[in-house]
Amino acid sequence: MNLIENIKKSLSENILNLSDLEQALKVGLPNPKTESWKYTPLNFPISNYEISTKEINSQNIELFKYVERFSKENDIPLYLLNGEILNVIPNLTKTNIEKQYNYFIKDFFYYLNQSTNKEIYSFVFDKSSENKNYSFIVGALAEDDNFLANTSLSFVIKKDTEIEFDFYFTNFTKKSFLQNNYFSFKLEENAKLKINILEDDPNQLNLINNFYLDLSDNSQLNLSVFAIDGIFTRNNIQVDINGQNCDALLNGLYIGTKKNVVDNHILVNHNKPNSHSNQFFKGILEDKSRGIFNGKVHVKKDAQKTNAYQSNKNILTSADAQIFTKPELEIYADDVKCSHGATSGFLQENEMFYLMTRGISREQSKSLLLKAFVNELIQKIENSNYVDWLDKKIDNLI
Amino acid sequence: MSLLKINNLKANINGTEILHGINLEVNKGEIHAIMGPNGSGKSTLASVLAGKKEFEVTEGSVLFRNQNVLELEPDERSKMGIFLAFQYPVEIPGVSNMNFLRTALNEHKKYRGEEIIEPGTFLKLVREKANLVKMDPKFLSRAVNEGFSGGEKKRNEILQMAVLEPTLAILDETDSGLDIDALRIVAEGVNTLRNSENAFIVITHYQRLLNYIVPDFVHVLHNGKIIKSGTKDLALELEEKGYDWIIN
Repeated sequence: MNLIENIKKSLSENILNLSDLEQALKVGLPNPKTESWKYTPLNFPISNYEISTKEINSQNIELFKYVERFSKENDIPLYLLNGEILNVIPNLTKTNIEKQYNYFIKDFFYYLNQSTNKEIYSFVFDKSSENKNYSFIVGALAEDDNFLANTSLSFVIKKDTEIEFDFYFTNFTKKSFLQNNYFSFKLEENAKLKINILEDDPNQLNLINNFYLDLSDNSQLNLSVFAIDGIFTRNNIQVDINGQNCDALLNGLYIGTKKNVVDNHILVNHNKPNSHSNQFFKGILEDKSRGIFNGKVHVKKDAQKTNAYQSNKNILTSADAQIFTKPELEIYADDVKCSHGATSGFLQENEMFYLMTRGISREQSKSLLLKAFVNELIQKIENSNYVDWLDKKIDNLI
Repeated sequence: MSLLKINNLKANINGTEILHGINLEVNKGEIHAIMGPNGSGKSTLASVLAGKKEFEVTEGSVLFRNQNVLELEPDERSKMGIFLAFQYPVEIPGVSNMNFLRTALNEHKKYRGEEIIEPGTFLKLVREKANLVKMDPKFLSRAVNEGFSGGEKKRNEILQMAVLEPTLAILDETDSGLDIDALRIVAEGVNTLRNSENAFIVITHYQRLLNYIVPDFVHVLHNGKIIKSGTKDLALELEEKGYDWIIN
């Protein structure tokens, strides 16, 4: 495969994990027969991509000025460009990759990521890091089309610590770029983590985002992911509930336009009893876009008294738009409360007619109804820096 | 002066003809009642006048202020002054009643070339109108019709009418599902809004509503045609004898 050869040529052996590269080649790209990629076409020529070797230095931080539109007091930004960290924030260390990363699904993209990351950046947050807002801005920069970068970060939220993260993904050039990102989070006892993920880049950014979250006793996770307007977006979000009395809320909104592909693969493993999880995902598919939702809840034999819920709702605004949704429950415990469900359909004609008979045009009625559909999710991030901006962005899109 | 002129109107749904040639003329300042047994085409007529796409008009014309409206979208008809109070008002989760009403009113204002209304001024206006139909202001901040009782939904229809001030209002069985008190409040709302420049078409099954909203004309619709027209006394006669004596 050209991609593998390109990487071998571009990177010297001391920063390359050759065995992972060989492994990537062996596993091969996902194809329509790969169950978890069945409905997710790679709509960009991945096998001809090259690894970005563009020199990155702290001067590039200038690029990130745009993010200041979101800045608030107490905001601590961390800039990453093509997988490299540009500035220093407290709590940062480097660790060996293997310890943190053995939970991810071992597919092509995993090995691809590992092949260029011998060490990964690791952050530890404790009580002293509280009351600040941490933003992680993951940028892409290349002088030509068809480049990629691998990013890996690992986070530990110490006992009793409450913290909030914003993640942004962006492309600074209009050249097609793939970000292949892996993030892992360990929540220690009684830790509380809120994560807002904003994937909104229309500039030829293809995004493969992996989030792995490990929850200890009494910890709480509140994750929101907004995938809007990207050309290709694949989110793999896995939550392992490895403690009791945990709470895991996962909210997601995805909006597909043009010929975009947007995919959310969610897995929640209830490994211990007495915890609660909820997946709440909504999608709007316009034009010729394709949406994929696969949400799985796995309740292990010992995870009694689990409450696990899942809901996925979709609206298609065009006859050429597609949604493939698959809510899954796999339950091995006998004393649990679980529910799952998925809906998909067009805008309700009777609702449209009602609004129109009051003098509201077809276009405006459509956006009123779509806005109502997404509001429920936007309201969930009310404290974030970018909620107003997101609101307007969605207004423009629908 | 003629406000609405329906001429030989025929309409289909899924290939089945429901309206077989309706003729009706409504002048400014008039109230017309349309009565008739179930399935006679009353609601179809109301929907066709408001512009519902599911119905296909195959023949005839509808002139509103001397303009044929059959080719117009429902929102354009609304802005010209046609209002339909629904028999079954639609619930719209997530859209606040207030936002909905203000958007609608502003569309009407834009159409008339007027300034859009400020939120503060609108709030005052809508409170005043809500009082007219004795609607609790808390319903204004809720989603449109969501979780409203049957009576609250009908009041909300009259509230919308009061805010938009149409020249022709079609009330499609607004009395169905209303208790006596609610019926009186809704009727009072209509009577307050009526003037020499507007007109009403009141579709109903029962003479009862017509005690409160007194019609100038009563029409009997049967099998997609108006088979008899008269004054308000016709409604009383129907109440007493039923429809059989006209139909047969």
